[in-house]
Amino acid sequence: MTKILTIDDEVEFTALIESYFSPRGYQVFSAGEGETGLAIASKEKPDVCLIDLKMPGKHGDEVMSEILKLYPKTKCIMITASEGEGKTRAHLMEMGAYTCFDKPITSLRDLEKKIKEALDTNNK
Amino acid sequence: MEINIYIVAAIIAFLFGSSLAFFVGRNSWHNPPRRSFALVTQLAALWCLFPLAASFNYGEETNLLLVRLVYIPGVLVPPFILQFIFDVTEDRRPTLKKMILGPAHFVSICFIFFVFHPQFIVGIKKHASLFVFVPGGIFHIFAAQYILICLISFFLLIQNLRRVESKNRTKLQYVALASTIGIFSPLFHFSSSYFKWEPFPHDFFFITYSSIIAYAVVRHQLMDIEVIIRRTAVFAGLFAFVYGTFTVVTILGQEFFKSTLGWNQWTATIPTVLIITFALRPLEIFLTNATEKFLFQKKYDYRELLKTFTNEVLTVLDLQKLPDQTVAGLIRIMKLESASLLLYDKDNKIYKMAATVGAKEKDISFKDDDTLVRYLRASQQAILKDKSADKIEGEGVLKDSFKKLNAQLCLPVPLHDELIGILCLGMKKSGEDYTQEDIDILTTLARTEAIAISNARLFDELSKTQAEAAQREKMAVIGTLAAGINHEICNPLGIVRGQCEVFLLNLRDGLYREKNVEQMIKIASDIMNKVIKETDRATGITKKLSNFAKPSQKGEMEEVFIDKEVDEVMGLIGHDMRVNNVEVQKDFPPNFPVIRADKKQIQEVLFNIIRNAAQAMDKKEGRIVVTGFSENGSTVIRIADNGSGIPKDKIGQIFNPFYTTKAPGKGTGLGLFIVKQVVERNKGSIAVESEAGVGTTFTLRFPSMAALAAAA
Repeated sequence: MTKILTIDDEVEFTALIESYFSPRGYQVFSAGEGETGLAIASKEKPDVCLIDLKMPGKHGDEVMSEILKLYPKTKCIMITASEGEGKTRAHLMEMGAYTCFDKPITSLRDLEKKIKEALDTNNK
Repeated sequence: MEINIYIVAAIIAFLFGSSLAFFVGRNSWHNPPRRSFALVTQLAALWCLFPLAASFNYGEETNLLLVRLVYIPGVLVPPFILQFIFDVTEDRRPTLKKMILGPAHFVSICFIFFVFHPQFIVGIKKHASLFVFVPGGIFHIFAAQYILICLISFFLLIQNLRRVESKNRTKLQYVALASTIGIFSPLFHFSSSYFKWEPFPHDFFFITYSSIIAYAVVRHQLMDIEVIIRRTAVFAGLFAFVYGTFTVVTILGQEFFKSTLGWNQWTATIPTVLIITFALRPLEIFLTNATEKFLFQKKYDYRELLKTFTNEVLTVLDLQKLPDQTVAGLIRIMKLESASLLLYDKDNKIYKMAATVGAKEKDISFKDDDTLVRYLRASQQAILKDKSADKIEGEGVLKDSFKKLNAQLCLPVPLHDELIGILCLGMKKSGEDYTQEDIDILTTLARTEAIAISNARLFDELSKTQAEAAQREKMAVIGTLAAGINHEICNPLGIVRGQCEVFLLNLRDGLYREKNVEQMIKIASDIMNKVIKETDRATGITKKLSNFAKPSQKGEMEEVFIDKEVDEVMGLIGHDMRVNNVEVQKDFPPNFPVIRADKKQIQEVLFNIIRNAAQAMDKKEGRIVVTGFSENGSTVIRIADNGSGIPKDKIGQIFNPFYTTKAPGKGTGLGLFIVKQVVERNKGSIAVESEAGVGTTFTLRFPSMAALAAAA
């Protein structure tokens, strides 16, 4: 079963991800901030991480690089606000993000597609 | 020689006429009316010496010779009268001029040869105290010729009076009046010999003639030499006094000393000399002042003009109002028919009408290469329509411009050798001309005007820069708020949308197939509750934002709960702070006193200080502590951060406008400047303490309600 870890300080967001992906056969873990996220990641070894860029405490980019250090095969999808375009986006991709997704998410279907795509690259 | 009134008159006439001729003629040979005036006056002044020449005690032969010598300039007077009339009226009929002047000069030259002919002046006779000559046959012709020329001159003068413009007419009226009086001088002179009748010394007519011309010169710029006339007037007055004293005291004294005291008659000169010595200097001062006061009275008004103008107009800083007030001021104070101010428009490279009263073309503009502009720029001197304009190349174009502007005088408005404007003045309502002194004063005024315009422009630019900076500051605030807006509005909407999408997709994908009605209702109500919660969240922030953005009503003072306002501000920027790991602690005692202030402005102050503190944070874990307490009747709010602090040498500048330590383009340097203004406007004060690397503390003090009530 594919494991998804969502790290976001916004509970409503992690709840939304859970409510969509759980019934569709994904195992979804949620964390409200970076440290908890890292703890879950080291325990569960998620296939895909959805990480909010701007969080109190550890910022999303730090969390991502630590996860990638532990499990380089994990696909990190960064959740950015609309200002996460241009430089920030390029920077995140350089750091190893699989892709960036703008918040608010306009289509959960598209997010699912992106996750599947990411997993496919892993299987190849 | 027996001194009598005729001789006194002759000497005064000669001296007055000669000095007038000398001052007018000096350096003025290029100017035809001045030249001919100087000549005719000098010749006539010499002719005036007749009574003196005739009354010497050297015997009849010598006196006859002297009289004949005096008559040499006398016979030359008629053609120069004509010449003067032609020149002063600017009569432009060359053929007529040649036809009349040529023969007149020829005839007078012929008369010079006949002056010594026995048939010109036969002899001199004494008639009572009056010396008269016996006219011969040639003299009859001379007298007839003289009268004929006078008639022609009057005819020409009257003809030209109708032709010329009203202001020149005034000048000619003076010439006509003076000439009418002046002509009695030779007529009485002739009558004394022909009819043995001279009721009044004829030379006094000549003195009157000279005085009227001198007056016209002064008041109406007849020949543009008023300064000289001023000196002449003083000189003439002094001379009259010396001569009068000498005549009266010596003549009367002679009798007294000789007959009564039996002393030498020359002793009489001693009191004369004493009187003259002591009275001369005070008299000179008196005459100078009197001349200034009566003949040059206008100049006092101009001093007033400069004063009023400088006080009323040149202090105006509004670039829109300044030209209007300049024009209106000049019209009012100088009593002009029209006035216009043109200013240089750098973008279009034209001099554009900025303000006018009475110009014929209100929208007139002049290009850089226009004759008027080129002349003013090159010479930096005023152009007077009827005088200097004639001498400038492109006279036609220039006069046309003057006509459109309805101007008589155009002055450059220069600033550092640059022509930034043109000041155009129309006719004075009095019909008087602009004198050199007017032009001197107006030139100074134009220069001051240039400085005023430059000041107004700088002020205007500064206001624009300030407005732009304020706009940038506003944008910076919006930038800070944008992140909050995204988090607090877009995210809730995203959640709302996502919940609905999940429900629909689950439905479509058949994920609810096994759910019963109750379970479905539970799912649906969960989603709806979330939707309500999230929309409430979005609405809340929208309300806060619109409250914050709403401009405050001017002077709207109300009771403000500072701790509540801190919460309001945190609602707007709290997320931004959390994301940047800045913790905001609030420490307000229960029943913290309210202050009386403009709520919006207090929000603005708190927003700016807290935002600044968060931005200056260089630590991983930033902390801002907002504390409230009462101290000595003041309500104190202290905002302390543990950020980078402000170096000691910079702390004095932080409230200055446009001072910023942020990277270029990041800060406007207006935030704290505005904060200080706003705090002070709300009767508060602000102080800052800081230590580099430790943090900064802002302390706001507002008078407590009790203190305010006591002050009221």
